Amino acid sequence: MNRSRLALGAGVLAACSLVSGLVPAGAEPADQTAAVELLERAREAAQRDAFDGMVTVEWRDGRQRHSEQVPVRNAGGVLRFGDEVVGAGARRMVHGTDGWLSLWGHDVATLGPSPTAKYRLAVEPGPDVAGRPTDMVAAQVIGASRPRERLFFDRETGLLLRRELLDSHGEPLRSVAFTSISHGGAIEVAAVSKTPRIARSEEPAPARHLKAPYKLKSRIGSGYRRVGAYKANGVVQQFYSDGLHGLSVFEQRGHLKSTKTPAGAAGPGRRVEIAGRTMWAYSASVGEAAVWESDGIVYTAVTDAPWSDLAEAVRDLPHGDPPGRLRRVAQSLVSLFRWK
Amino acid sequence: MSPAPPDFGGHLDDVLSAYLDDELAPAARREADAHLAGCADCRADLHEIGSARHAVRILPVRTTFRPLVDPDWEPASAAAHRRRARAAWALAAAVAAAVAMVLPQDPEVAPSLPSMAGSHAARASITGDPLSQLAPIAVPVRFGP
Amino acid sequence: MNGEVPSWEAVARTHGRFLYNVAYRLTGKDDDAYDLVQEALLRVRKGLETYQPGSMEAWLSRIVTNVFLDEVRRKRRRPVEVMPEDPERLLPSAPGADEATESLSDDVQAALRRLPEEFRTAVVLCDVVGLSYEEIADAISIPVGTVRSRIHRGRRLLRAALQ
Repeated sequence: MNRSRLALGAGVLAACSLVSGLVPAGAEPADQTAAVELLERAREAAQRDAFDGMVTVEWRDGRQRHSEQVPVRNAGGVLRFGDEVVGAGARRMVHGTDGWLSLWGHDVATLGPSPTAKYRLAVEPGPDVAGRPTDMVAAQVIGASRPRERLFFDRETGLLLRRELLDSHGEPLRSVAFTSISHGGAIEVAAVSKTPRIARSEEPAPARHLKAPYKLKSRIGSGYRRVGAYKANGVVQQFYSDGLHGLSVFEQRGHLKSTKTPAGAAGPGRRVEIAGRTMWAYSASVGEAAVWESDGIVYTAVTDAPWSDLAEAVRDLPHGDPPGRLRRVAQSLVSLFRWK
Repeated sequence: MSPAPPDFGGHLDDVLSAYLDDELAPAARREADAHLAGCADCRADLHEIGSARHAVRILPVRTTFRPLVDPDWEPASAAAHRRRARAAWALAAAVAAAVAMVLPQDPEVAPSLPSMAGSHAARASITGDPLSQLAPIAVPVRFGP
Repeated sequence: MNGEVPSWEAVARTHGRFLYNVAYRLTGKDDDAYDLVQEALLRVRKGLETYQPGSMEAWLSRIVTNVFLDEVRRKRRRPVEVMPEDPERLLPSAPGADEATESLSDDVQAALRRLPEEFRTAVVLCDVVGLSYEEIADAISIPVGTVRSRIHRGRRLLRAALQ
C-alpha cells in the first residue's frame, strides 16, 4: 500500500468537499483512512525524528487536578525523559520493582485492532499547539453522542503534540501535551551514556503453557483484543488494545490482605461495585486501575481508557467471591496434590 | 585376540571424525597418520570435516533471561493428566472442606501499582505512540482514590 | 563434598545454563528449548531418586537428548497436528542474551537445525557437550560404530550447508 498516495488522496478528497460546499459527515471512509494514517505517521515520527521539548501531563483524580512537566528529547532513535533513557527503537526501559525492566517490541506481533472497528474518527484542522499548526482527530465510540478523545498532530512533522481524554461533559480528564518543542538538525545526537543498568533477570518472557488458575483470554470488554501475554517475577500480564487505548490485566497467585493497600496507592482507593462484586479503584496520571481477587489469583487491571471501559473488561474476568477460609484450606490441599 | 589391522585401501571416511575426536586406538591412529601422509584427497577431507567440527565447538553458550524453575509452567502432557485426575482432586477438596485443618495459606500479595503502570505504559507505547503513553509515567506514579 | 543427592532445584540452578544451551542446539528455537528444559527437569525430578553420583552433565545430556528424541519420534508417528498459528508469535522473539556473536553463530545454528535429528543429536553431544563416543552410545542406546558414522555424516552435511 502506498502510504503517501493514500494520504494525498484523502487530503484531496477533503479539500474537494470543502470547495464544493459539502460538509463531510464524520463517517466518511476517506476521513477514517486519513485518521489512521495520521496515527501511524505519528508513531513513526516519534521514533525517527529528532526533537526537544517540554511536555505537560495533566489529570484528575477524585476532585483534584494535577499537573506535571516532563522534558522530552528524542535523538538518534533514543527517547529521553529528563536524564533517563526510556526508549531506544523497539526497546523500552521502565522502573520495575527492583531496578529497571527492559521490554522489547519484537515480541509484539501486531499493533492491535484497527481503531475504526470501535471508533468513528473525524479529521479537521486543529488549533496551534506549542506554536505549531495541527490536524485534529476526534474519536467517538460508534453509537456514543460525543467524542471521547482528541489527538492533535503536527501538520508538518506528523508528531503527536497533544492527546486528551474527555469526560462525559466533554472536558479533558487526562491530557499529555507539548508546551514547547523544537525540531531537527540543531539537536545533537547525544551519546547513549545514561542507559540504565538493566536487571536482566526481570525481562518479561512470553507467557504460554500456563497452569490453572491463570486464565489467558483473547478478547475482553468492548473491542479489546489481546496483543501479547508476558510473565515476569511471578506476575502474568496480558496486554489488550482497542486500537486507541491499551488495557493490561495482571495476575498474581495469592490473596489480598484486606488491610493492606497496594504499593504506590495514596489510600485504600474508591470502593466500586462491578457485577455485584466490591473492588478497589484508583486513578493516576497513567489512567485507571482496579484491584480484586478471585479463586487464588489477585487481579490488577490498568488502562489509559476511561473507567467505563475498565468496568466492562472486569466483567469478563473471573470475579468470584473471595474464598472463605475453608475454601482456601481446600485449595491448599489441592495444590499439595498437584506438586506430588 | 587382537583386532584386525585397519584397511584404508579406500579412503578414510568416518575414520576422519574418529581421528579428530581422538577416538582411534593407537594402532589405528598410526595407520591413519600413514595414510594421510600420502593422500592429498584425505588431507583435504580432514580439513573440511575439521572445520565443520570446529564451527560447532566454538558456538557460544546460548542463554535465556527466563527463570528455568517456573512452577506455573504446564507441560502439554499435564493437561490430559489433569482431566483424568480432576475427580480425585474434587474428592480431596471436599474432604478438606469438611475438616477445618490448619494449613499454609496462599501468599499475601500487595500489587505494585506503579510497577504495573510502567509495564502497561511501556507496552502501550510500543503498540501506540511512544510519547503520550510513556510521558505519564515519567512523573512518579502515585495512585489516588 | 558429601555423597548426598542434590535437589532438583539445585540441579536446575547449577546446571540450568548447561541444559538450556544443549536444548537450544538441539531444537534451534528459544521457545522450544525452554519447553524442552522444563520437560527434562520433570524427568530429572523423578530420576534423582535413583541417580548414582557420577558425571552430572553426562546424565543430564542423556535425559535432555532422550526427551528431545521422544518428542521427535512422537511427531513422526502422528502426522503433524494442525496447530493454529498463535497470532501473537508471528515475529521473532527478543534477541538472545549473547547479542555480539549472534550473526555468525546463527548460520551455524541454522545449518545444525537442518540436519536430520539423529545426526544432529550425535554432533551436539560430541561437539557441544563434549561427550566421548562411548558416553554418547550409552546416552542414546546405539552402538559406538553408529555414533561415529552419525557424527561424521552430520559434519559432512554441515560442511556442505556452510559452503
